[in-house]
Amino acid sequence: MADIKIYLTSLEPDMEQTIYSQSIGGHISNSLLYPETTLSDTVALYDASLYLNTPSSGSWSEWQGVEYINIGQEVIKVNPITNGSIKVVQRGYNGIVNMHLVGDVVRAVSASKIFNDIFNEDRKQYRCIALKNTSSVHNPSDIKFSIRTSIYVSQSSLNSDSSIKIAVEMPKSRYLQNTSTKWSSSYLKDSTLAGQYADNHFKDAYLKIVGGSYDGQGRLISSYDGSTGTFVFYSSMPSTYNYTTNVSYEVLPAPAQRIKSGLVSPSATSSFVTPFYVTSKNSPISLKVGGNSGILYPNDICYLWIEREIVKGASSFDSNFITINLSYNTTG
Amino acid sequence: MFRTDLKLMLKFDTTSLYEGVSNTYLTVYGSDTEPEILARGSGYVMKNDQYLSGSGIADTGYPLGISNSFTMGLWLYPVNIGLVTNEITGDAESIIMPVLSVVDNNSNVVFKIEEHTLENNKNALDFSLGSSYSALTEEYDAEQWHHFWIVYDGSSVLIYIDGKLSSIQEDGSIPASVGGAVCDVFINHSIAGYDYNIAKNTGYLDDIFILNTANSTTSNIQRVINQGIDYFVNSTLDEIEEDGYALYFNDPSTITVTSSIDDMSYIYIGLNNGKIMRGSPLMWETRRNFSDQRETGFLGLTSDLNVSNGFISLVDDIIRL
Repeated sequence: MADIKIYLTSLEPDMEQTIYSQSIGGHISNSLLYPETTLSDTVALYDASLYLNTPSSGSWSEWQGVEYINIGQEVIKVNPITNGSIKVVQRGYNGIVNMHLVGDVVRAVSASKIFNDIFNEDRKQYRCIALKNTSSVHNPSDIKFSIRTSIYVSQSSLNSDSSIKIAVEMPKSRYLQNTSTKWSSSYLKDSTLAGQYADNHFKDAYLKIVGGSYDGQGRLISSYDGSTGTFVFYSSMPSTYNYTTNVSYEVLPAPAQRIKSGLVSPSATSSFVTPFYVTSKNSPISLKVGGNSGILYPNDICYLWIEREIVKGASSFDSNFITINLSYNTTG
Repeated sequence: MFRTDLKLMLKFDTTSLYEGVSNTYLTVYGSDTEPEILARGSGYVMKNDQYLSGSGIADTGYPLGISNSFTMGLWLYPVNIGLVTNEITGDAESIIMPVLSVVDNNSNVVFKIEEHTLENNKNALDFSLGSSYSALTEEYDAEQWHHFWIVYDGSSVLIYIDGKLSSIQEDGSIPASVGGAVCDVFINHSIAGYDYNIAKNTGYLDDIFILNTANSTTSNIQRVINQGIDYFVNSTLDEIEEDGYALYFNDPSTITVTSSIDDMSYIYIGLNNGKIMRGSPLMWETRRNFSDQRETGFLGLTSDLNVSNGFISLVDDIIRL
């Protein structure tokens, strides 16, 4: 399985997004939509105990107060989580009971995060999340492509007062990793790219140095010269860096459009964005958008816009879900 | 993935009792010759006065081809009819109910599956190979669907219940091979005849398949349980991965219940705004304060439950507050 994970989006690149309602496009953040870990034991259909591996953070602090977990298609109501041994309150809280294997991903699902109670005058609100193929390009045995990827809402709101539509936005440029042939505080040149991409193909994407003394340092790209393979930065890197030694770098996929607030519909005028659709298993949205092949290579991203609409006069109550399905083939 | 290994597939989606590999139909025997299928094709209803035969499967050139390995799976909704007293010993004994048997063209049992009814509304599955080996599984609860995945590889037997490997009580030695090139398949038919503690099965069956190779890959078991058996015959489903992300949120509603109905698969609740909510009768719950006796009247609740400030839950076809 390609390791596709869902992240919140943020105004700036390479940052944590702690305000869920601000996941309204822009760059992929470093924050997962929900904290996750994996199962340490198989879960049969009627098992009432779950055993989870300790999260990669080493702590269960993010899981405190969580009432629900998501494994595959199933949502499970659980007792308070303090360690990896969890007692089930109710299996199949969303009406779907599945079996789960050791290593399956477990997500701590929380309400009042991705959506809130603020709607526009059309009783709509919008959010944008980023789907990233996290299989490693550094480990050849772990490289997984997600092919023929499509997205649909497999389980819509249980409440008929609420409806969900989704749209897909593909980045204008994809993930790239290579080594510079020359660089300075204000630009990075990679002559091996010369002639491969159009001018400004990577504009507004985030370039980050990988490894070495400046590992993790990055800048937004203000322009790209396709004939020379030169990335020009919006703001300069420190002049104290040693620019005589070339560096490995990566360019993250270009950001999505960012809306002013969760009340504003994203623009669907670009060929990189689909309109909002009501989807189902038989009518999913393909990632073949804006000339893309529909393949998510390692570190590639697609952005998923969600439109939630409620009927007039609705008041609030608790406990509802939608389930968004990713369907894909893999290679690797 | 197993397309070439698949030798039998019964989905019980319709009363035609269509066998998907040989493209034949099972024959219904007994005094009741009308098969009964649960709503939405979710299972075959076994009956006291009826059994099914798949003898045509062998005759049409699609033998099961079982020799020294096979894999089979099925969904079973068990019934428990308690114990019976052995009139000779006076002991309470299990009642044995047939589920499925495969017999070669010399009427020898290749393998068979029976259920033993136990105390406390629990059953156990009894799997036999040839005439010399049987394995009894762990107990499982009656009156809820269970999935069974049985693997024989010529030297060992594995039985998975609901996706987890069951411990088994084995009796006799495992045969190195079993004859099954040409086979008849029987459902709810006791090959050995009837004794005082043998009764027909009245549970439900669904999605039976038989492969003539051994396969205990847990990801395959998971796929069959979670996604069904269509991908045995649909090549486009072979490599498709499905991953679901639940987005949980508080949702608006001004529910006033005006009607309710169930059709075994879903429960529908009519609302005062003219819309209809649909919930699974297996498990579904929403928070909702109820204080209007007219609403609870539509929900068919008993008088002592007519007013509640808690949840409305739909559990096992019953609406509960």
